[in-house]
Amino acid sequence: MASMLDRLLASDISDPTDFPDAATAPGLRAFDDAVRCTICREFYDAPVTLTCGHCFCSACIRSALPEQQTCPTCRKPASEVHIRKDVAMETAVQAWKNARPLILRLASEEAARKAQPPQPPHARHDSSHSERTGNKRRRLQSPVIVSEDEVIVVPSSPAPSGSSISDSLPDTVLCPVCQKQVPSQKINAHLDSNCKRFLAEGSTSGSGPAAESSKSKQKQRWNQLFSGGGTGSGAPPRSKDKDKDKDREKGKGKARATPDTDDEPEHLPKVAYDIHPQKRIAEMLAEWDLPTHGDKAALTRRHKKWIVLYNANVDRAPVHRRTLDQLRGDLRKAEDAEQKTRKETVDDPVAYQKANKAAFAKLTEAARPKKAVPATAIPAVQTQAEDHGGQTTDSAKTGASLVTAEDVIDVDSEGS
Amino acid sequence: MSVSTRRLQKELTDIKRDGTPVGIELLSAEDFATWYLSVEVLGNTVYEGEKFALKFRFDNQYPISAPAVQFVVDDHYTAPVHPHVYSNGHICASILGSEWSPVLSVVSVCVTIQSMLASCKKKERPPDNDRYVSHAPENPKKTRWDFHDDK
Repeated sequence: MASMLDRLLASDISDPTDFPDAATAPGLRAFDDAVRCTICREFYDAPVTLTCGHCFCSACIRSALPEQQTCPTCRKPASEVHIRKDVAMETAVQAWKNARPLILRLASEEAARKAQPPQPPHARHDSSHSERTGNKRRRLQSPVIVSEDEVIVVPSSPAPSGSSISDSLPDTVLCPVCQKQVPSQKINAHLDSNCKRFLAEGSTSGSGPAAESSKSKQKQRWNQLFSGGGTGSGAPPRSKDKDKDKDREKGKGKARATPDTDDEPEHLPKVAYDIHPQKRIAEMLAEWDLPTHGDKAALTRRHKKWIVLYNANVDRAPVHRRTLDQLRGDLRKAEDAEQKTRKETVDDPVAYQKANKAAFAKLTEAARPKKAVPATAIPAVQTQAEDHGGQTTDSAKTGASLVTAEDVIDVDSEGS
Repeated sequence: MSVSTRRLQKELTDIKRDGTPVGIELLSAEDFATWYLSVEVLGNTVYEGEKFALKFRFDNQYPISAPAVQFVVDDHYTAPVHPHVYSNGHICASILGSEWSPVLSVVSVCVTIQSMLASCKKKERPPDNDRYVSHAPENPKKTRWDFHDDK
């Protein structure tokens, strides 16, 4: 049982339970939980609130509301027009994401310390670097005491960067504050930056490099924005946009009259797919350079998903916004992932048939028409007609065989 | 990885690290399509000493769409005799149908069903049990339920 669970949990996912319980680290689990969406349980991505005040990821609530026009948490009536972005929450989530690795490490150290029987406090005083160790007391009591030899390696004055002397020093040293590997000639700059920068490569999950890379990513995105709405395939050409704007302008003529707000993208309107022929839906997809293969249901699903992704992206702060190309990639990934759970692909039909011979035999047997079942009783609870293709009378006869057929299919997909 | 898979992974992580509420146990979760959990009603109730198994089936729209939940009826387990539970294991509970909310989870559904059983005073099948069972679709989500005597 345990190993089976481990297999399912193989991939690394972050969760509030990463933190020690409330007795050891009060508030940390609760805090980590508080900045997560209750629908997807991930950190809020483009957080938005409803009129009741409950917060969700924009994409999550935009997927949920068409199913049921109420707040998923408190069930108060809600609709998409009530969605307002929550900028403060977005900032908080970003800050917490940056702080989390450090806090997590400190918290688990604390948990380890509490788990150990209390040790007699060490009487040693290492005055050589006392001014740097603000949290000295904790460090001395902590079971993971850095041996003093290692700490002494820290050069007392900043080594001139790039000098040949520094080459003779050990490549990395342990930072006395954050206890991560830091290139020895950068240690002072590292300490000056509150242990955020200059972590050695391969050191455990530093927030520094992450922050820097995200900064450069932001720069890239800004560049893309300033270079006229993306490179080539970025935004659909303006001229194309115009046609669509006609539809969009309905009921918001005033807002469009001021071109100053042009930078702020607008939400896409909902589409009544039922009244459009398949060709029109394919056109709508083509306007955004999206794939147009599949039947009407598939096209509709794709366009709906696109509107959710696009509108959620509008709810992001401009610095976190994804480019249209990235959004297209997101849509493709989401479709692939859903496809995977929907169907299993059969690579070798012959081998597959052989492997599932018994199951097929069972299916064939189950599908044979059964006699002697009177179809007289009135169904107590109506079954939905579309699920049975309208054969309400047949369902009485074949009901039992349907059961087995579907069961067998379930078994197959589990087995792979 | 699809949203449903990630969400279920998180639920499984929570179950593994924090455990499940009293009387609820994870029986098996071999993939992200079907899970089995057991439910016992503790204390002095009409189901004292009985243990039931719930089968959860998830589609790729979970948690936006509700899981298909039913009691397991096989050699080991039976459906509880309850006015909202049919003898084929199908459950007439609004939170599994129109009242589903994406903030609910596997464990919260189990707790709801546990309390539904706990509050039962008299063991009896739904009045239309035989008629429903003979025509019921295999998947309870395909039944259009009428939630009558709730609240």
